[in-house]
Amino acid sequence: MVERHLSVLKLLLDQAGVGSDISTIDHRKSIQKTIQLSKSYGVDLGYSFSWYVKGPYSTSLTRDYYGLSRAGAVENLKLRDSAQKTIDILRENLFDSPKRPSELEKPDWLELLSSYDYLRNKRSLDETAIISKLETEKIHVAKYANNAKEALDECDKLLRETDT
Amino acid sequence: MSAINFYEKQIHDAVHGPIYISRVERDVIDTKVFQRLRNIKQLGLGSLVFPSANYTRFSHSIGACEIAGRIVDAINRNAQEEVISPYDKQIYRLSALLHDIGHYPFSHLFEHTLGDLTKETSGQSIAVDADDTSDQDEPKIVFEYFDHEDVGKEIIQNDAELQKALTDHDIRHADIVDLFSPDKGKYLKAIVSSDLDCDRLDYLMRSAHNSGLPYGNVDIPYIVNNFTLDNNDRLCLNKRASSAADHLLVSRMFDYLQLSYNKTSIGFEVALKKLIKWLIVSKKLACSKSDISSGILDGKWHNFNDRSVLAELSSLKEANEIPADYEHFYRCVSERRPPVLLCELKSFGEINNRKNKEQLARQNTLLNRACDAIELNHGFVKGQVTTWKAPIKITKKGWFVSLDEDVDENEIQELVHILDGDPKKTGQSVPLITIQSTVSSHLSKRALQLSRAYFFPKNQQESDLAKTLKREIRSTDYLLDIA
Repeated sequence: MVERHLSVLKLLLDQAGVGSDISTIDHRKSIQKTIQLSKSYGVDLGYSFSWYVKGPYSTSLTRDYYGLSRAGAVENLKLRDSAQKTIDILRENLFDSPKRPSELEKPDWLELLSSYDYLRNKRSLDETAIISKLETEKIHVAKYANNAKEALDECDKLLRETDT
Repeated sequence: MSAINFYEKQIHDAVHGPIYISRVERDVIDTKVFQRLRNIKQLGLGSLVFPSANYTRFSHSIGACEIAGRIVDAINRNAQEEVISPYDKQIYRLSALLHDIGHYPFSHLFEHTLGDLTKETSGQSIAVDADDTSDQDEPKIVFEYFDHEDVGKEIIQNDAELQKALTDHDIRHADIVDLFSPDKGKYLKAIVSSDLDCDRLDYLMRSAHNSGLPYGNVDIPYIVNNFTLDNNDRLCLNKRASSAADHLLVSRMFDYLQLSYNKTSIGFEVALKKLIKWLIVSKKLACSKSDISSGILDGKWHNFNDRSVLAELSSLKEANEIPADYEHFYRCVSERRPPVLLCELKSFGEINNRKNKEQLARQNTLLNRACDAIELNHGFVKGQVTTWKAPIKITKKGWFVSLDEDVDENEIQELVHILDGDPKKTGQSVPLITIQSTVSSHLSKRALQLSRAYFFPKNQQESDLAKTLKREIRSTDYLLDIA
């Protein structure tokens, strides 16, 4: 049996539709960004994120998902109702949002969302500064910044209305 | 900004000899927040086993500053030009000087306790057992904490005295914060955070010097002199230093095994960790994010150190406020009564091998059950027989980094890199663990897994049971086939 915390991590990733496959960079990046965005919207697994090459990144999360991949059976848990509702809303309106441009792969979309969210909420940058930073450091996604902003704002509004 | 004099003052250091510091470094060292490090021991309770291993993060930080400066000098010398300016050299040295400024009392031990609490509370706030039908809509509050690097950032951004010391000398504190959490490209974070950074280099030398153990006696001056940059501006070592770097990584494994993870030291730490957790949960110590932030602003942080935690425990003991279930942990630490090591299981194998993983998971589960059985059979209180486990790896991240394909810069940047071939022709570097002729390459995906069971007797009568319990734990159904 793995530690309870890793079981919760797996449960959350499954509910978010990302899963715990870590065989490629894209898979690992998707896990990092999904957990960061979930934390930002209140489903907090307790990881600290810092700004690295691909945006928000948590070393202890990295350790844990590799731990998860090498562990045995997970504990029989279920998400609390409030956490499940939030993740369902995030999945539908953020992770799998129709606002994702068709030419942008999902892992890159998650990188953009997570980066935008982090720069806005953790670094307290305004829209101009965020776009400038994205253009300098994330040229492959910077032109879709407005899509990300709209998706994040809509999700914010939706979560406030549903009061999870 | 006037020219920086890196030779303004001299400090005599037991490990490096004379260390010269600049004015800003002198002023930073004189701040209360830095002086606090005099009361944070580098090796936690290690001195209860190795009497002279009681050096503090104060001397270590000054040593790390010295090594960072030497690394920068080596990079410039090997490049035969000034690739790192005096201002940036000052930033690296200050970052090294301040790299431990945010450490909690007893360093990692305290931080891991906070991390465990956060994981426990966050897990409880998000999920419940599948058959649990109660309390579904009342998630518990997550205990949020800063890791020591985040505390460091808070201090650099908010400690008025430290800020003044920096700004008086035209140092942009944001440049130091960037090195704690760097943006792409601007600074070489590997100088202050990697498998071969100034922190680890000083740690190995200082620990060897103070503990009397020989494992840190490797050729560190030679390694430092061979730091250079590859053509992607990545910090690396000249090829001729690869054997010395290899030796260092292997030596560090033994250092961990014999010093950091010494069986008796860890026993004391297990007890202290339980006490610290109790102090936090029972709100005798306030360590949430907001508590730490306000403590930095009002100066309480300056007196939050090893001594203050032990003093708090001592006064609680005098007031009879330590619960009976924790008294034996208190005596263990305060009266140096080491717990009994009932059982130690060691296995060395590939970390990602499925069979090994299953075997290790099974081994740890069985050890837990054996401890539970002993507690139950003898009527001990919960936690009196406790397990501890840790892997010892040759590099921090080398065991999981994908090097064949899908190289992730986030993951490989902390590995030791070696300049491949003639720098004038190629200028590329490769991770040391990919060089087949090194010992590290053969150990990088392996770990020595340690699992231990400790017994904390409450009285002499229980102490007398030690031999019986050692026999008993090995003969429990759970451990018969693996112990």
